Amino acid sequence: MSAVAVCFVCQWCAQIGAERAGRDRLQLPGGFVMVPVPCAGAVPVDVVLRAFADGAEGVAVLGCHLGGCHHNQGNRGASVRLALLGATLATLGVHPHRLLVSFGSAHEGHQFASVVEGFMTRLGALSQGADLALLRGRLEGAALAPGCDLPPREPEAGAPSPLPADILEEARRLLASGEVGHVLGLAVTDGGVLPEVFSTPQELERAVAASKYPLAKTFWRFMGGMPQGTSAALVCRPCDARAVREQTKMAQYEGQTVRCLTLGCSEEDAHKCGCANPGVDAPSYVALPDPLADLDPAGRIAFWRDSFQRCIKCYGCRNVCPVCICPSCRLEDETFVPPGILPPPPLPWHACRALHVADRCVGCGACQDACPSGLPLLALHGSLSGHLHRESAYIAGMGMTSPIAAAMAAQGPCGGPPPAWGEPGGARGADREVRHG
Amino acid sequence: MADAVVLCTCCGAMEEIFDMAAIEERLKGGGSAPVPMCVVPRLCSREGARLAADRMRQLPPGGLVIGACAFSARGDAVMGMLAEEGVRDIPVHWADLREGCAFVHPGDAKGATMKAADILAMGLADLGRADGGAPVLRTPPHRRVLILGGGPAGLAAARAALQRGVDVTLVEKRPAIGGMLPMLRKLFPDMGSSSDMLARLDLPAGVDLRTATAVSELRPALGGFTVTLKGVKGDGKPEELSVGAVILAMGGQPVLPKGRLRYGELAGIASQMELETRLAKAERNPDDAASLPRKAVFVQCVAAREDDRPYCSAVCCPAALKNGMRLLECVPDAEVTVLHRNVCMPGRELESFYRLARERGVRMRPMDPEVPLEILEEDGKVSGVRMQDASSGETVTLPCDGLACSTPVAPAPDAAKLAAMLGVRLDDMGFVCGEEPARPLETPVRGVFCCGSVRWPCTVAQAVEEGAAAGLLAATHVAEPSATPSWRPLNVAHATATILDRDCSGCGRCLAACPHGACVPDRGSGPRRTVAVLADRCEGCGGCAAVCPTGAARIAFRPVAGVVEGLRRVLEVA
Repeated sequence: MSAVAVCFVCQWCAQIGAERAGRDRLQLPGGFVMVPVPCAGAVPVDVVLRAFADGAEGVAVLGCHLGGCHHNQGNRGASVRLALLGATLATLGVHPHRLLVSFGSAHEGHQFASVVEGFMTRLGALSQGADLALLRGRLEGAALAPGCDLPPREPEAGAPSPLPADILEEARRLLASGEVGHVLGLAVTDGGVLPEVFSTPQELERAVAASKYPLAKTFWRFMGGMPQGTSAALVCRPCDARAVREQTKMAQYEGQTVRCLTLGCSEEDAHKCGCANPGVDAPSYVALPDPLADLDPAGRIAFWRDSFQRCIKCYGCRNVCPVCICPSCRLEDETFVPPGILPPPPLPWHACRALHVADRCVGCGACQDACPSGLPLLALHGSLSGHLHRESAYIAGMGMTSPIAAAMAAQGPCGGPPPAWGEPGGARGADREVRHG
Repeated sequence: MADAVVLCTCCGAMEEIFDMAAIEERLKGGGSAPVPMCVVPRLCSREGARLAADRMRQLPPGGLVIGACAFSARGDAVMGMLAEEGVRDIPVHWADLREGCAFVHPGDAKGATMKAADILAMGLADLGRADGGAPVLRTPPHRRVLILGGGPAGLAAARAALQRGVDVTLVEKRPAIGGMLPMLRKLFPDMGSSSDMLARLDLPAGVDLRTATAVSELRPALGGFTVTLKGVKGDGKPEELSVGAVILAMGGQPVLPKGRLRYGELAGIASQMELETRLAKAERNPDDAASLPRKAVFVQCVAAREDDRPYCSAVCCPAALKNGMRLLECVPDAEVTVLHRNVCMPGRELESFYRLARERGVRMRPMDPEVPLEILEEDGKVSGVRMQDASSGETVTLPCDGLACSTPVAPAPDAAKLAAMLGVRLDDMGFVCGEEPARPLETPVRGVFCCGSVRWPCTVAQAVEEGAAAGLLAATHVAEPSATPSWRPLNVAHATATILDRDCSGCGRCLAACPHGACVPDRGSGPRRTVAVLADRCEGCGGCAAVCPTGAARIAFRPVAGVVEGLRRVLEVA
C-alpha cells in the first residue's frame, strides 16, 4: 500500500473530521496521504499539478461549506480555481474522478470517512488509466489519433498597408497636442515590418498597419523603461488592446497614461488567426469550433501526448505572451520543473502556464505562432477561456474584473474592497487613465 | 542540519501496529544515511520527554519530526514537557501517526507502517525546506476604540469600553446622539420611557464624541485602522485617527410603506413610526388625542417577507402591540385590530407583553398573504379594510378611520460603504455578518465588531446588551493583545504571509484573494508597484500564496516547496 492519492485537508474542517474518524476508530481505505492546509483556498493549483506529475493517481481538496469558510470566502476562490483545473484536466482527457473537490462534507468523522472511501473506490476502479502516462510526462510512443484538425491559422504576418486615415489622424492629433508623448506602431525598416516608436507627427508618415504583429509585450517593455508620467499610445489590433487592458489590471501602467488606437480586424483576418474575439469592447465572443470536440478522452490523451513530446522547452510561448509579466516564473522554479528533463512534464509546464494566464489570456495566439515545434497551444488556452466564458460570461481584456477575483468577493464585499486594483478611482487606479478607442 | 525523528508508542499501542524497524528502513530511502530515530513509550509523560531530550542531546543540532497522536490530543502538553527538559527553540514538525494513521488502518499493519513512514518523510521534507523565520510579533493595537453610530448600541458600547480603561471615539452623523430613541417615547417590554433610557445611556465624561461627523475613509493599518473623519456636509478639515478596533453600530432605518396599501394617497394611512410620533404627542398633551383614530387597523409585514425583502425583522410585531396599547390608553373606547401573517414575539418578556396586549383589548386577526387587502375610501380618507380571515376563510370588512402599516427595519444606508472599507461581509439582506453562531459580535476581520440593528433588527434592550458586550470585546482586543504560545511545531504555529518584493509583479491577485484585508498595495523598490502584507491583520490562510503566480507570496514556516518535496518522496511512480 504505497500512497497513490493526496488529500489536501483544511485544518478547520476536514482535518478535524479526519482526527475524529481516528478517534472513532473508523476504518479508512489505504493508499492516501493527507496534507493539512490552513484553508482550502491555500492549495495552489501548481502543487496539485506537481503531485499528479510525481505520480499521484488522484488529488482531493476537502474544505469547509461554501459560506462557512473560516477565512471568509477562501473556499469560494478555491472552487473557482479548482474548477478551472478540472476543465484543464478534461481538455487533456484526464478522467474527472482523478480530482475531487468537496466542500462541507468532511466536518464529521463519518462524513470524512465516506468522502475518502468514495474517492478511493472510484480511483481504484480507474485502474492504471492511459491518462496516467500523460499526467506523469511519459510521452514517448504516442500514436496520434486520426481526424483531429486544428483550426486554420496562418503564422505569417500579412503584407504592410498604409494606416487607415482616421487612426493616422488621431495619432497625429495626440502627438501634436502633446496628449501623448509617444506612439508605438509598426514601420517598414530594412524591408521588414518592425515595431517603432514615433514621437513627432511627421514621423508618423512611416507608420504602417500589418495584419499580424503582436505589439502588447513590446509596448509593456517600452513603458517599463519610461518614467512615471509618461503617456503613450499604441496602434494595434484588438487582441493587443485587450492585452494592454489586462496589463493595466495588473497595475503595470501605474502613474502612466496609456491609449490604444485599435485597428479593426476583418472577419477574414480573424478567421486566419483562429480568433474568437475580434472586437475590443463589444462582447463579440464567437464560440470557435472546438478542435478536440470529436475526440474521446483516449483520443485527447494521444493528441496531447503527441503534441507535448515535441516541446523543446525553449520558453518561446512564455516570452512572447503579452500577459506573462512576472519577474520570476514557476516554469523556471526547480521545485516545480526539475531541470534537465526534456520534454518537460506537461502538467507543471503547459497546464501550469495555461492556468496562470487563464483569466488573462486574450487569445492572441502569439504563443502558438512562436512555438518552433508547432504545439497546438491555442486549443489548450482556448478551452480555458471557453470555460470562463461559459461559467461567468467572462472575456479577458473586456472589463476591469476577473472571475477569479470576483469569486472571492462574491456575496458582497470581502477581502477588502474587492479588486480596486486597476479600477479608475480605486485604491490604485486614481492616477492612471486608460482609454481604448 | 541533521533532522531527527521522535516516535511515541503511546504506551506500546503503536508498536502493536507499526513495525518500527521497517519505518527506519523506509526513511533511510535508497541506502543513504539513516535518519536518527528515537522511540519513546509515552512522550506526553515526564519520563518520555526526558528520554527524548537525552537522545536529542547526543545528536548533532537539527530539527525534529515528532510522530505521535494528533496535535489536538496531546500536542501542547508534549511541547511543554520537551521545553522543560531543555529541548526548545528548534524547528519541529508534528506528524499525526495515531488518529491520522494507526487508528484508521487497524487491519493493515503493513500498510499502516508504510503510511507512517510516508507521513514522517513528508515531515522531514517540510523541515528541510523550512525557510526559518521567526514567529511574527503583532504590532500592539492602538488603545483606542472607534464606535460608528451613536444609537443605543453605540452608546452602550462606548460606556463599556471606557470602563475597561481604553480611549473611545464615537462618531455620529446626526447632530445629536440617541439614534432612533428620540423617535420612540415608550419602550417595550416594560413601557419604560425612552428619555430615561437615553439618560441612562448618556455618555460618561472622557468619550471623544463627534456628532455631525462622517467617516470618509477607513483602512487597515499597522496596529489596527486609520480613519479619516470630516463633517457630514463635507465641511471641516479632515482629521485622521489611529484606532485599534472598530465597532459597527450604525443601526438600521425604518422602511416607509411607499406605494403600499394606498399610503400617501389617502388620509388616515400612516406608517407605524408616524403613528408613534402622534401617540407621543397625545401622551404629552391629552388634547391631541382627538386626532387619533377611534377604529384603528394595524397591518403587519408591509414591505417585508416578500421577494425584495424576504426577512422578518422581528421588532414590528412588538412595536404594533405597544402602539395598540398606547392608543387604547389615550382613547379608551378605541378599537385596535392587528392584521398579521403570524405574530413574532419570541422570548419570555415579549410573550408576556403579547398576553398583556390581548388582555388590554388589542384584537388579532390572521390574514392570508396571498389575498391582497382592499382599502376602502370615503372622501379621500380611509374608511375600512376588506380582508380574508386566514383562520375562517371568510371575507370580512373592518371599518376603520386609521390604518398603520408595520414596516420592517432595513440596514443603515451607510452600512454597505463602511463594511466594504473594512472588508466585512454583508448578508443578502445587507446586514453585517458576525461570526455566527459562535461569535456573533465579532466579524472575520480582526478588530472589527458589530452590534445592534446593523447586524440584525433588534429591540432597544437587545441593542444595549449587544453594545455593552461588543464594547467589552473591543476594549479587550486593544488592551490585551492575545499572546501566542511561544514554542509550537512549524506546521501548527500561527504563521503569517510575506511577499517578496523582488518576485512581486504587482498583479494584485492577492489583493482580491486576501479575506482579511491584510494585503495592501505598496510602493516597491522597483519602478512598478508591489503588494505588502500587514502582519497583524494576516491570519495565515495562505490565499495569497495560492493565487500568486510567481511564488512571491508565501506563508512563514509553511513552504510550498516542502509540500512538493514531501509528496515527491511518498508518491512512488509505479
